[in-house]
Amino acid sequence: MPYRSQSILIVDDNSTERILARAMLERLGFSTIHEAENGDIARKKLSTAFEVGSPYNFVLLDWNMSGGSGLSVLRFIRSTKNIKFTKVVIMTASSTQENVEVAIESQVDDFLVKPLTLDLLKAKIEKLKI
Amino acid sequence: MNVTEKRDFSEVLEINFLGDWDLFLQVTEAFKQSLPKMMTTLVDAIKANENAKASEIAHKIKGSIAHFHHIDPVTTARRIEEEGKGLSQNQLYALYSTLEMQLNTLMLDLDVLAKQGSKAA
Repeated sequence: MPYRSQSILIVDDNSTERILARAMLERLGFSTIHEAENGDIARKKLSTAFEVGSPYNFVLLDWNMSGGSGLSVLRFIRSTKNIKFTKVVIMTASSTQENVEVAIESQVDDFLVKPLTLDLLKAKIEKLKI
Repeated sequence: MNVTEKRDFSEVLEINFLGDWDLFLQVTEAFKQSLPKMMTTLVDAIKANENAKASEIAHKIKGSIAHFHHIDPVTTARRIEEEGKGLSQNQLYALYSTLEMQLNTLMLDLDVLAKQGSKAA
């Protein structure tokens, strides 16, 4: 698998999901992978990464985090000048019409329906040219 | 006697855990650590008649279990998630008890598999 230099932030309050997503991304050749277990930590990491000159290229974001959905993180990214063009893929177990509409309005780049598989993740990454 | 409905573990290991026993062991350990808190949150929500919260945490539990090969607890967690808002407290308690038993069965199975995995890894 070729080495990929892009940096990725996985945002999910479920540790098992983060472990699996990281393992799959590593299989796809990514090595700069960070994790956030809630929206507050995600926002801090996104801001800090930009401030130190290494903004994330891609955010893999859980839609249904307890204590606040991924929507708030997505809105933060899209409304923050310096990181607004970061590619964001929402992970959700239920791609209901309501979810899809809200995410599209908030300019998500794409969706992944859980459980994640390597083939699905690879296809999204290729589609988004990450 | 109830028979636990399962998917083929070797297929699950290959697809969900990339054929990697180390990854399976790591996820299993994280699951075992996070499950008690999620189950406590679920039963607390049921006690407090907070059905929407019960539904939300059942969604989380379902997501964690879905990586493994047992189908029954996924089905029960999904029922709490999808039907929970319209169920009585007693009905939710009954589903919670069923889920707890199914998860105990899953945990025992995961312990056996983890021993196999430790040798294989």
